[in-house]
Amino acid sequence: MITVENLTKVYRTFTRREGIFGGLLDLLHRDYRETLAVDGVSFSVERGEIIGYIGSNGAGKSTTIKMLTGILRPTSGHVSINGLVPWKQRTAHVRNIGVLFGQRTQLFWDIAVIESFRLLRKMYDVHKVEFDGRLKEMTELLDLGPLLNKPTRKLSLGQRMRCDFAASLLHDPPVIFLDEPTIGLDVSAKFKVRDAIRHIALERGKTVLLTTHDLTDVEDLCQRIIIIDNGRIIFNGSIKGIKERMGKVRKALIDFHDTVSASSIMQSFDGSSVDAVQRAPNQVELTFATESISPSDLMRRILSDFNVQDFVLKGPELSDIVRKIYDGETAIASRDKAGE
Amino acid sequence: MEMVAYRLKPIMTLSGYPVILLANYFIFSAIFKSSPEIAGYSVNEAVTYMSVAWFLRALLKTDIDRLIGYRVRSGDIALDLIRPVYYPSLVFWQGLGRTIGRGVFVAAPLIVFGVLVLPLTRPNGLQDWLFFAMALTIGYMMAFCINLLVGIFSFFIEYNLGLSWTVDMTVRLLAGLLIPLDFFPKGFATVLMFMPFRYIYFVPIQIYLGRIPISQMASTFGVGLTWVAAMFLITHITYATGVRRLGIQGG
Repeated sequence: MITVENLTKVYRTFTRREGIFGGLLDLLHRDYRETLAVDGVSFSVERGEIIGYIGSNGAGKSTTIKMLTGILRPTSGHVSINGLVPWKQRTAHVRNIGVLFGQRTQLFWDIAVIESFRLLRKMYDVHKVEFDGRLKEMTELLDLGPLLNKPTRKLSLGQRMRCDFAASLLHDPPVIFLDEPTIGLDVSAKFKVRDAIRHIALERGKTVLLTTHDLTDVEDLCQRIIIIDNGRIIFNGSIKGIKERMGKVRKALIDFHDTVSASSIMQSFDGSSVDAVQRAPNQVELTFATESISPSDLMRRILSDFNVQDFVLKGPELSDIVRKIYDGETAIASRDKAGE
Repeated sequence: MEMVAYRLKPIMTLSGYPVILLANYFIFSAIFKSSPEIAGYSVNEAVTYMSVAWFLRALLKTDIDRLIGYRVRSGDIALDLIRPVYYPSLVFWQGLGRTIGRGVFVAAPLIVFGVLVLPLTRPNGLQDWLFFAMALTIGYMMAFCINLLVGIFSFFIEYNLGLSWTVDMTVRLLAGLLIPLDFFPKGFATVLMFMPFRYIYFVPIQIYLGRIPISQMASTFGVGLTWVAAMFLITHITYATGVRRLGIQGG
C-alpha cells in the first residue's frame, strides 16, 4: 500500500544573526547551511494497518508526512502509495488519501461545518448519494449532529478535530494520514477520535499512518510503530517487540500492613539486582531487572517474608522506553534492526 | 461567504469608497475650471471615468495575493495542495466568490450612490454595454493573473506583502486607476498602450465612454485576449516552478 525507499530531504536554511543590526546584515549576506531533516528513511505499510510514526520534536515526522502527502518534494528517494508517486502525480494521489493536520483546520473558518463538507464534496466529485451515506455514518461515529450547522470558528478544539477528521474521510480514501489527531484534546474527546480511527481501520480496511506525541494513542491503536530520530528510523516493529527488547526493567509497588524499610527489603534480596525506594512508611517501590529475577520469583519471596497488604506490578511502559530512546540513554539503535 | 459571515464587514468595507468618488469629483471639477476639455474629455466624462474606475476597483480588489501569501507564511497552503484541484483554479474561484460578494455589498451600493450624486454619463445603447461587459471580462482575467502572480511569488520569497503593495501602486498608475492614461505625457502614454495593464481599467472605461471606434474593437479585444493568454501561461509556469520548491512552514 505504502512503500518508502531511502527517502531523504535536505533543507537549505541560513543561520539568522541576532538583533535588528544582525537582521539587516542578513539581508546582505547569509550563511547557508544544509540540514538533513529526513535521512534515508525506508519502510512499508500494508493495507488495513495502523502504524504509529513517532519521534521527538524535530525528528522528521512532519517532513516525512509532507512528502508522503505530495506537498513537499524529497531531495532523493522513492515513494509509492497506491502505485502513485505523491509529488509527481499529486492531483491523482490526493484523491486516494485523507489528511488530518491536528494543528490546522481544513474547514472554512467562517462558514457552517456542513457547508465546508459540501464544498469538499464538490472538490472531490463525490456522488450525492454516496456523500449523504458517508456523512450519516460519520455523524453517528463522531457524534457530529449538533455541530454541523455551526461555523468552524465557534467550535471547541475537540469538536473541531472531530469535524476535521470527518472531512478527511468524506471522499472515502484508502490511505489516511493523521498528524497529531489528538493534540490538545481532553480525555473524552481523545477516546472518541481513537474509536473512530479504530473503526475506519478495522471495519473499513483503511490504512492509517498516525503521528502523535501521546503514546497512549499508539498503545491503544497501533500494532506496529516506527520510531524516527534525527531523520533516521531507529525502530520499526511491534509494540510487543520493543517492550520485550527494551522492557527488561520492571517496577513493583508494594503496600505492607506495617512499617517496612526499603533497606530491609534490599537485604533480603542481597545479590539480586533489586533496588528499593521508600515511598511511604509502609510502601516501597522495587525496581528489578527481569534477567536476574523473574516477577513471579520476586513476588513469591516478598509474600513469604513480609506482611503484604496490596501490590501493583507495573509493566514496561512504552512511554518510559520511548523517553529513554529520545534521551539517548538506551542503545536500542541496533541499526541493523532498522527498517526490518 | 466571508462578506456575510460578519454582519458589519460590508458596511465597514463600503464606507471608504464614496469618499474617494467625491474627492475625485472635486479634484476634476477644479482641474477643468481652467479649460472645458482636457485630452478629449469633458468634465462629466472625466468624472465618469474616475467613478467607473472606482466601481471596477471595488469589484477587482479580491486580495487573493495577500490570501496566498498568508497561507504560505502560516503553512496552511498545505491544505490547499492536498486537494485534487489545480491550485490556481481554486484561487480563481475564491477570487470570483469575493468579487461576487463585493459586487453585492460594496459595488452595487456604491454605484447607486454615484448615479444619484454625481453627473455620470452612460454608454449609448445595448451594443456598447455588451462591448463594455466583454472588456470587463478581459480586465478581470488580467487583474486576476497579476494578483495570482504576486501571490505565487510568495512560494519563492515567503513574505509578499511588500511586493503586493508595490505592484498594487504600479498597476494603479499603469492601468489608469489614478488618472486616465491619455492625461499622461504623450511618450509615456504611448508606452503604456503597448503594455497589458491598461486592459484592467483604461480599456473598459474607454469603451464605456464610447471613445474606441467600432472599427478598432476587434483589434483591441484580440490584443487583450492574447495578453491574457500570455499572462495565464506565465502564471502557470511560475506556479509549476514554485510548487516544486515550496517548503511548507510549521510542524
